[in-house]
Amino acid sequence: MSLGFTVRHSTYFDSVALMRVAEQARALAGVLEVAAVMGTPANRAMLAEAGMLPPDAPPTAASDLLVVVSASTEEAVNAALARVNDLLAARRDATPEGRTVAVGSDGVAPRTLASAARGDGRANVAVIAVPGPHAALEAHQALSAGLHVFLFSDGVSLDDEIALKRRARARGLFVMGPECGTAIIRGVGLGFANRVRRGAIGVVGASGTGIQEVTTLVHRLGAGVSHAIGTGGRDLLAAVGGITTLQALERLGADDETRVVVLVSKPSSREVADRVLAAASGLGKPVVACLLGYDGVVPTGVRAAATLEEAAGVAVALARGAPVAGGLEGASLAAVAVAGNASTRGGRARARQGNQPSGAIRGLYSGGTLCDEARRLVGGTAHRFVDFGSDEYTRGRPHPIIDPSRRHAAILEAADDPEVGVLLLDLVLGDCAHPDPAGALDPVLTQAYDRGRRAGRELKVVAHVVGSDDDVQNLARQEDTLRKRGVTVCASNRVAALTARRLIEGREAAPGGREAAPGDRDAG
Amino acid sequence: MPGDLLSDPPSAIVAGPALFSDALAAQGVTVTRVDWQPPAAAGDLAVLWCDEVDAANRTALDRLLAAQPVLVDVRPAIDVVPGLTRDTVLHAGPPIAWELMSGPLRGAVAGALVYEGLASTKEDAERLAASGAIRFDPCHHHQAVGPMAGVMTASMPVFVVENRAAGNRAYSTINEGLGKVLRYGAYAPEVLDRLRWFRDGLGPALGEAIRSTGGVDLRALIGQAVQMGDECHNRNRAASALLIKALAPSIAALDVPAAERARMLAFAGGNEHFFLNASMAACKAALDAAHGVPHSTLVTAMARNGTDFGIRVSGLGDRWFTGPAQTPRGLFFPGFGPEHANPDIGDSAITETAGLGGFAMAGAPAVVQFVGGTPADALRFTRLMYEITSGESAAYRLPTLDFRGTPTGIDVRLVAQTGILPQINTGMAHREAGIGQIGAGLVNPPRVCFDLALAALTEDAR
Repeated sequence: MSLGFTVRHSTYFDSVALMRVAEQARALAGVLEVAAVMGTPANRAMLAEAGMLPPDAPPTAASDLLVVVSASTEEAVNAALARVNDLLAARRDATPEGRTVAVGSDGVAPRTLASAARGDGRANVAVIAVPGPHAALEAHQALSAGLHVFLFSDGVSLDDEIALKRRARARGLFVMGPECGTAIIRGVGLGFANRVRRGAIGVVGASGTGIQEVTTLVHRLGAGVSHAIGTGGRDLLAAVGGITTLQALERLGADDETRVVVLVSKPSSREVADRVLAAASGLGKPVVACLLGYDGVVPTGVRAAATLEEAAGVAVALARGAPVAGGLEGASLAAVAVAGNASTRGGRARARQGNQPSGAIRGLYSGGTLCDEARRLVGGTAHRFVDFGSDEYTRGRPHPIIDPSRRHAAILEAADDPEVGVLLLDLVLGDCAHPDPAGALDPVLTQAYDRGRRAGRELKVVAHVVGSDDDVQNLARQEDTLRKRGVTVCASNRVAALTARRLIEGREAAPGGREAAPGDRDAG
Repeated sequence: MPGDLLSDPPSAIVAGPALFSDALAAQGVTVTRVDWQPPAAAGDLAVLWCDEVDAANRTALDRLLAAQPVLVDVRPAIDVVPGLTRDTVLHAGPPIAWELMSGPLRGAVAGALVYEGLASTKEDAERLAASGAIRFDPCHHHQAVGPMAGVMTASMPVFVVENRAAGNRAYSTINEGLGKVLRYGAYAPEVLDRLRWFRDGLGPALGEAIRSTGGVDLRALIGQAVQMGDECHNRNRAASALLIKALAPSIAALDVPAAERARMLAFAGGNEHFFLNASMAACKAALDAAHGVPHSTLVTAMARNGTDFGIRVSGLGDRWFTGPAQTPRGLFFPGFGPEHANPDIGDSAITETAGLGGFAMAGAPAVVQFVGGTPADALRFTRLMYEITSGESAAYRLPTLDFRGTPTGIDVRLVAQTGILPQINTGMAHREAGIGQIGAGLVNPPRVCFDLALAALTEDAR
């Protein structure tokens, strides 16, 4: 048997509270008796009588807390003493696990991140989506509270971004953003994220919709995502130097769950891209890089992917250990697999429409990276692409993924435009997105077709839906709604872009068109 | 120590639309949503959320929370209070010239000058005060605090409170009770007689009694009183009883006539604010230890002189940031109303600065009745104060909040951001000298004090 004690000077505790704590500590294995009392002569006499007053216990005053534990082993004594200490320190009105607490029972909600962090105690990430001019304050406050930051806000100055990221890095914290749309941490989506399977593929991305496209394609291909870390669109600019991207690569490199890393960038500084690629090649695990606009040499150990779809496909093949030998063979196989999911009914709808469309493609996008990728794949000069997620359209209003009304108006304008033959759209599902984007689009499309028809034109619509069947909006249901309205639904943004191009080039019905436009593979 | 991003399941705090918190909650994530509003104060608050300020605040807060105030003695002020001279009159609040003093402060100054024998009548005292021959200085500049007028002069006996954690000391006079008392500007003969008894009888006897106990642990005593319904500013019933209980055996053992010992105990027992001055000195001793940490945004004093309200900030040295004192809202004694009330006065807001008083109101619901409030309001007041403080007391715990520590350590950054002003419980003085206390209630500092402090802090940070 072993006896141990602690003395805490000058701290008053109510005796009932002490009895309760002692009772809880008594429940630990090997513990025989626990006494927690104020150090008065009467209490000491009581302890002595019970054989609980250690001979080496120092004199105590009535204002000193004396805790004595008797247990079978010294370890059990120490465990019980530690337990008493924890119980006395614990905040018992802290938030129970798994409950959303917006407002306390007495109507006082935390007014600042600092207060919320102190009140919660378990929080590890701050999600910040406040107006840009106030975002840096909130983010700095979150870092002060030891929280990682998911910074959705836009309108944060480059100087603020640099200061935030440097400070975070020094403290071992991440600042994802500003203007970070998406992250998935241990299966939990932050911001605009899709419900995708957990698995071995880690993603680092400067683009929110880029991450969404890659993660949902990985999911469609039957694989899963370990984590996806957003960096914000400017992370790879020379001034920022890729701070968050480099942190994320390092962290995913060390993560046991992650076996393959996908890097999705936006146009970046050549020098920073080189540095990031060098870091990627030294990770000790395969990295697939989809670097928009990068024309340098990709180092050994990093596979370049020309499109988001290819990046997802290669990553899935690598994660499965399938051979991805030479060139993009594996990727194109994967691409076909993805394309196999593309609409068949959409194909029939097109076949019914008969007339070849003429004129230009009008790409109306809610995802910036998807917009850029489609623009690049479509090529030519006659076509116009608009990103409704860009600053000029989102200033003072919700993102089009949340509120598509601005794009809906543009769809009707395009329908009236005699130049336009094909509308190319993305629909983004997932958390925080519109609850039913296809349903909201449906009456707009009906109107658009009508207007075209009245003008004697046959408008064609090609769309790709970014999402999974586990998203609240349900991918299959969304795609089905679109198909019923005659939309050609494609399984990836790449396929959608190429399908639109083929439609304009009039090669849609050609039997040889399949290879170049896998979206039409199963048409008819 | 911050946690790793990927090791633990996310647990989030959301500052933004409910969309974001709802999405997380739907995924089974623990999420707290901030009731976010744009910052209440203009200015670059973001520069103050940096590692340097955080570290300074941690140091200052640690010193505040670790303080261990012990009542060790009662001595004549001139013997112990640093910088005090025979021709000095210390007063509550930030510095103020005689011409600008309010009625109760002038009355108390006049009374003290007569008591010290420096003047023979009130008029004589006023002439002397106006002549420039008397040095006026805030108690706060001399490690001292005083309730209401807070007047302290050379021969007054003072409580000596030692912060055993840091070794510094703080001083306050002995509380005179209610009714006609110097601290409310009364200077009648009975007031001065009582002060003379303090000097010649009560003070020396209390000093001896306290010394013979080896010191009274005020940290533990206040902790207990807070669990007995006191907030140790406007309500001191339990704490006064506990202090008398602690001293009674030693007083009984003093070598003075039994009638005198009985008088002392009867006086102390009949004064439900007997403990207030000890409480204030305990808070002052704790806050002085936290003062003077460069870059710290922690408030280390809030004090009023009846004309101005002033605050001091740990990282801003000896500067005061002042604004016009407000008039408290509350209940009045029969025959008095708001028109009789003097603007807010006294150093007693040192208790709120240390996490007691209005900040501990959840534990003293009786006080909230001064403004017609309910116990639920008392909880709400304390809950609000957590929004502007950076720590929680380890010693003072509130049963009604499941023994959560009182909100402690006012952070200028949080006051500026939220616009929530410290909640102060206080007594009210008649605006004319000599009448005394006319009620009690609640009051806030003027916001400008915090705006000025914020401007100085941001300048300091650049």
